[in-house]
Amino acid sequence: MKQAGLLVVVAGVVIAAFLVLRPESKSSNEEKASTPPAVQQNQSAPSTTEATKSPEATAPAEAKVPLLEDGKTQTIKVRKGDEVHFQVKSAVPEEVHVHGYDLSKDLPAGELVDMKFKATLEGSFEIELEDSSTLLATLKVEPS
Amino acid sequence: MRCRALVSAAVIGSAMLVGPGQASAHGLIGREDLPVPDWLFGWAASTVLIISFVALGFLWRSPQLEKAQARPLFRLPLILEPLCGAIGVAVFAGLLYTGFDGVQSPQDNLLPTVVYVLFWAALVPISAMFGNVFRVFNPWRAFVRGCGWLIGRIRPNVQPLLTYPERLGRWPAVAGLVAFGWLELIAHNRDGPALLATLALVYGSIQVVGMALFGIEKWTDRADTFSVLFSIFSGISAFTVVDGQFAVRRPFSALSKMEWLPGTVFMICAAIGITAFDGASQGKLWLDTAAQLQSLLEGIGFSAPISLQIASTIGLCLAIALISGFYRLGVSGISSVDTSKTSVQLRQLFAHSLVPIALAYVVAHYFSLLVFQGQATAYLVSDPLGNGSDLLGTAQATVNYGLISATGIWYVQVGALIVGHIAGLALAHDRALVMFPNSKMAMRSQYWMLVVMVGFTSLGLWLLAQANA
Repeated sequence: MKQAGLLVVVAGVVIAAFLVLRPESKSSNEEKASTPPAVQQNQSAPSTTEATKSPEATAPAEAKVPLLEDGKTQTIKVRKGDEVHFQVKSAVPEEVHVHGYDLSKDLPAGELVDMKFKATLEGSFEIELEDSSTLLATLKVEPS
Repeated sequence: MRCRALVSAAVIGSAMLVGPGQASAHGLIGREDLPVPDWLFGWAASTVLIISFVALGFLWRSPQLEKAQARPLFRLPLILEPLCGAIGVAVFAGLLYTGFDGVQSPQDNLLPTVVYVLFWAALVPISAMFGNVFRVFNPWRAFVRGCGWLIGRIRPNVQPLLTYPERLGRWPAVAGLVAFGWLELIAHNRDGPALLATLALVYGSIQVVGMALFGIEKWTDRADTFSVLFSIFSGISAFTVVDGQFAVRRPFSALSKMEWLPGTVFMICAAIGITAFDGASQGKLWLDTAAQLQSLLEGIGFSAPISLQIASTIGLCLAIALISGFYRLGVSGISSVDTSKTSVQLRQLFAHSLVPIALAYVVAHYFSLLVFQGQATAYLVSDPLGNGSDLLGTAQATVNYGLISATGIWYVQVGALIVGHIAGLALAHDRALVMFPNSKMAMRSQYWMLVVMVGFTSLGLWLLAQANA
């Protein structure tokens, strides 16, 4: 009897701890060790960890949109529901493909191409140049 | 057709070691899981510790899983096994054709998804839930049994030509498992349909020859990697077939009766190690280490792609060695308590408690692959060759990536590890009760197994938290 009682108490503590620790949606606290300084704006995401520029959405005058190029893989981190916006340039005619979302856009040689879409799927998705199978960036969509 | 396919496969095989390295461990879909967040990792790790200490002090006093028997329910129709075997052979032949003659893009050909998702990833939990289903659908076993039946009509009582060397035990199966792990994680063009079809054909042929020479059951139980692997996991299931009768038993209880042929312990450790390396290879620690290893190797003179493969091979071997070594360390602690048994015996006596943890690792790591790429079967089955056909009318289906949220995936992954941990502890506890009538020795042996289990489960949680961080 005592054993069963103790098990119930322990189970209760474990479940209670889970409910307390679980973040509410829309106000979760990400405790990444390398949290970069938060960029203030209405829509877009916390900045990337390895990218040289931080993505911002609808822009005031000096908005910075990451430019994806062959040879330097970047990470784009957003929350579900945010808008993803980046630019791609390729020296040769190529096709940029966002896996998971299955979005493709042709890249004429040397031209700067814009990609904008809403982050509706959670996960870590590859953005690559389709013809040469080179990874341009990893898109990470975290729960809102 | 066969000649052309073999030549192309040979070319592809030699190209296997060269070429641009692949970005992700699973090349089939470009989607990886997000790392488990810190709060969930902390909660899960604490829960594992709390559960473990509660289990140490308060678990049952008489063994519940050691003596459980299988209870026969009803007789299965005799036609069932040959029928399933025929289905297995037909499916295998069809898949070979798909691999050789279909379009060579992995996403559009049915074979890579079947091999890595439906066969490798799905059959482990399926075996654990429903029993050793692979045994009846096993194409090469069914083929040899069919031939054997035919030959038996002409010349009864044909004996196997050779005797299987018992000292070899399950080591051939282990070699096959490690080779498959290398193929899945490291080989360039691992998703190539023609390559996979060639390897499947070669593997099947080896199995057929082996079974013909050494006897079907002997070979299947020892040298067929996948038969051995799935039969180990089927020990978890409540369902089995005994003498042609469908039987039920207590889940996990069959693990305690596993046959301990040489190499079985290492097989379980290798399964955990391969999955662990798959997870580790997506994290920062490995990527940094691999980069350093690679530059070292390139300095010696290897090309970039080969350096990557060598570095990854070293990583895979390290992962398997780490798992195996940690388990041995734990068992050596038990042997200090019980000096009547050798380390080898003790390793065998407790290794069955690692099988739930191996299952947890597989579920935690492959769950999202099964949920998402598994959906791809719907359209791949209608268009297996990738040539635009629509055999079953489902060729326009797509994968719904919103089917389960990232949070849901995290809960399943963490839940699997916690449940696997509890099951492992229960099995080890039962074994200690049987082995050590002296409860003090039983407790001390349990401390050691507890350390091993907490170690493996924490490693599993850590792998989830650092993947793609």
